[in-house]
Amino acid sequence: MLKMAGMKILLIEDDMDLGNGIRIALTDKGMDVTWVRQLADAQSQLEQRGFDLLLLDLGLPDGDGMGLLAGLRRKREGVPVLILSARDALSERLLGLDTGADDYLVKPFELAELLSRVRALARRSYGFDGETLELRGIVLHAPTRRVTINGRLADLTGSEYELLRILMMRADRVVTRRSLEEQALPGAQANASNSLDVHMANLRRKVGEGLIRTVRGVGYVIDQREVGR
Amino acid sequence: MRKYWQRLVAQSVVARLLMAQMFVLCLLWLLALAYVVHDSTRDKVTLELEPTYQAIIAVAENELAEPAKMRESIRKVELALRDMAGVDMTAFPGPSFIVENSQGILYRSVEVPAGARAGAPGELPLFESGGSMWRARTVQSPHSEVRITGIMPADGVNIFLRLASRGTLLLPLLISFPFLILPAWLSIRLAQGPWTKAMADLATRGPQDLRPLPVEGRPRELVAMFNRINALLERVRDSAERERAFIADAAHELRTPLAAMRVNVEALQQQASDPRQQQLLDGIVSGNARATRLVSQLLRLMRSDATSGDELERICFDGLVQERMAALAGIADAKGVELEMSGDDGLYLAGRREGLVSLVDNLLDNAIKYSPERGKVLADVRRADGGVVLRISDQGPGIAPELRERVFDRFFRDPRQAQSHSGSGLGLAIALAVARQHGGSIALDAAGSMGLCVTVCLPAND
Repeated sequence: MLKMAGMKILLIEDDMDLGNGIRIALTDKGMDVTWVRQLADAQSQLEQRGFDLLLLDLGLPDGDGMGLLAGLRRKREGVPVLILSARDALSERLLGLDTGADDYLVKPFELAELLSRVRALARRSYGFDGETLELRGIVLHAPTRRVTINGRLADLTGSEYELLRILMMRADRVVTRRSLEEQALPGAQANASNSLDVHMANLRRKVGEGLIRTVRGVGYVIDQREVGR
Repeated sequence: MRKYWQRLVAQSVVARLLMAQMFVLCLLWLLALAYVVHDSTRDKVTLELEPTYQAIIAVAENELAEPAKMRESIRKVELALRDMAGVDMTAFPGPSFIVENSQGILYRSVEVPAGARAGAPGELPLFESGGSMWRARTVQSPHSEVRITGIMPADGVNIFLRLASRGTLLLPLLISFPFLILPAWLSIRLAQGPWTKAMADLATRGPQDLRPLPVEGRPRELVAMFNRINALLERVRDSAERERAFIADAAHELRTPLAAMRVNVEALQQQASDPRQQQLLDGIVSGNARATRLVSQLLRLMRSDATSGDELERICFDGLVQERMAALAGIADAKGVELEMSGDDGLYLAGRREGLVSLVDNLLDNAIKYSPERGKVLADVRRADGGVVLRISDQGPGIAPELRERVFDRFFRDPRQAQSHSGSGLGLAIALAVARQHGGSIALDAAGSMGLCVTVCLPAND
């Protein structure tokens, strides 16, 4: 499990109360938070030092956070960006993600939700990218596409590996059948519902029952910790 | 009568045009008739028929010695004259005569109206008798004392009726009426074509479609009207746009302070160790959560109104339901509620994603909220004739039949549930607003022995 302590976070938020609250909450979790309230300050901070994660508000006094994000992506800076915004329209969220944000959180949010998203981005930023993903005894090594279960090598087909990777990446969240079909079984478009079930049954047999939970008709999920029931 | 008339002309432009045409036609005809009638009041034809007078005078002079024979002869002349003019004395009065000399009256037609009097020769006196107007003309015999006075009805109505009885003037009108009306009706119908087409085009527009109406290829008269309508639509669009901007502003203004409150309280909660403090902080958190939910529901409702003019996109509805169920699986999991989905694949409809997401979210959210622990929420999406039907059923307490209409009202909550479950009272109102905007409907039913089944019908777009 990845440690969030020591993570360098740049918080760009103009609201005094909210910015201060987030800063204290994250600092309590051991993170290194730099809080700025204007785009110009954010730019200078980004030039001075590197950050592991940006928490970006969109409506700022000296411009729109989307501009900063677009600038970052133009310079091919891969730092993960989590947008915190009151704009909750679908089009706004899609615009944010299309511009290059890694996630989009609508205000108001629960602290637990913010921490979980930060954790997920941290995992992606230096826990996973080109590295390994580990969960309940299963280790997935992306560059070699090797999967070990309790130290023993598992022999997975390409589709099974993809299914497992997607579910582990999005641990604790239900991944819909549709998106699994689209991402892991691109060949089988029509009548794919059956083929997904077949692949999933095979995968379950190989990784052990009880790891992948079914939400019938909806999708599948891998829980970080085994649910007791 | 007036009401009836107004209804007749207000109902149809065609009727109005036909009426106008008939009216003008009749008016022209009446004018022509009036001229004829006016001309007839001076009935020179009969009254100035000099030979008639001379003939009667001659008869009177020749048979002066035998008054009975004379009266019979004059009577015959008179009848012949009337027959020639086509007058039936029983229905309409015609010419009648008084013949007299210095001794007194020699002959007097039985039809002579009371009060008739002879004027001086050459005059045409008018007098009234029996409610009608009459005109008299007196001619003096050049050889003797015999004078003859002809009396003709001078009443317009009488003359008109007399003319009508002959059928000379009204009959052609009656005969030609159908020939005039049918072409008029046909030509109006033909000219109406562009209107009919424009109406058909308008009928295909959705209720929320505020795009300008296309004016190309339309006749001038319609272009003028369409331009006016377009100007109106533009104003409506503008105001919808302003409303949306206002909502976006309000969202930002309300959400940021709510978020600030929440984060600060939760940060404080992490530090507080005293259970009593924790309890108080929990109270703030749950109050904040309620306010947050209310604000976001209100904004959703406002937005579902404001975005109702947006373009429709083709949406895979079963995919959307699946997505939302996956998204809400966490909440269900936390409550120990099992989610399940069944039904058909590849159900497409024309809609607005955001609205449909709030519809599905609200219904699922309610179902999860009112489910008992270890309960099951089942979503079923199916193709039904011409549409897509989503059924979401739970095993909760359900809603009493008499409240099933009222729960759609904004801020109305089932009094039995209001204490045990928090909610904004807007969820079903939002779902209903969205369903209606998509031309669909929502119905509530009991799901088996217990629980609620919400059925949403939406038109499909395959």
